[in-house]
Amino acid sequence: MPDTPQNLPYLFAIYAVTWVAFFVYAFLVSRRQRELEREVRNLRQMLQEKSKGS
Amino acid sequence: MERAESKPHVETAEDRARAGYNRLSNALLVASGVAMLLNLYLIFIYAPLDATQGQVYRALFVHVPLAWISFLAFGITFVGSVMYLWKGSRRWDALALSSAEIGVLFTTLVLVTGVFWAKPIWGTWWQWEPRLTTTLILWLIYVAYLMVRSYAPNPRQGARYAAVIGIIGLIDVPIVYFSVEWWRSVHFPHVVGPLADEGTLPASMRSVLMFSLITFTLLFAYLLRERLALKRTEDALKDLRDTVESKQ
Repeated sequence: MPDTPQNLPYLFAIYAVTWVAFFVYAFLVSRRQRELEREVRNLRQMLQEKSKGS
Repeated sequence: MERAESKPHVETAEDRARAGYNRLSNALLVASGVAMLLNLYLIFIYAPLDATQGQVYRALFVHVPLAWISFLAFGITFVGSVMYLWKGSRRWDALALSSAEIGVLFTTLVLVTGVFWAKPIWGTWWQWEPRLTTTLILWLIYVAYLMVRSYAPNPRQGARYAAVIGIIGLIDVPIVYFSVEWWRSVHFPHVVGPLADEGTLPASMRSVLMFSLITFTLLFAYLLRERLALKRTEDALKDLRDTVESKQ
């Protein structure tokens, strides 16, 4: 009989893996975006200062 | 040494555009979050129990939408790849890459959720049968798409090679979809759509499946926007670095 308590762990695993994967992906993308935006700001500031200096 | 005074930040058009972009992304995030909470209620409370599979059949409401959205993602990659090869614009390449990456994520989850669903129903984690095998091939094709971009001698060349893979790779999507019809397959037949037998899925389950599809589509839209924004920032950073190098 399929509907036994032993099958619920599989159902839990399906939902858990799905949501953890989405959260981890969204977190990694967001973190990388913040890092790169910081670098972009720094480079722009450096270029501005260089052009003012020259 | 005098300390330089920090000047107040003046909002630029770019700042306003970014703020608008963030507002829409946040709206998508909230919408998909609310939809998912409602979806969980529908899946676990509203949808009736299946007489054959019991509770584990509720994997349907995750596994099937993940598969459909992965097809959508690779379709978008196809369009982006064609337009990139035709127009040469980085925006189309950004769309193709972003959608392919999320498509690989969704296809990975299709395979993983399928494995966890197969074990209690078929008694085995995996079978080399048409639907599973062609889905694995689909996953390998788009992993190759991402790897070609990473290992190409230069980014432009990598983008072009990947675009070719993104176009040819879409051939496997209809093969995956029709595999349960064309070959003998132990995978479940279509439960919705023109190829499904009438009455395969009761109306209550079908409506939950459709709502689940909408929920995952909202999530896909949010992730795609975020990944696109990241790609654009990567391209902007590369341009800035090139400018800095040229001035040195």
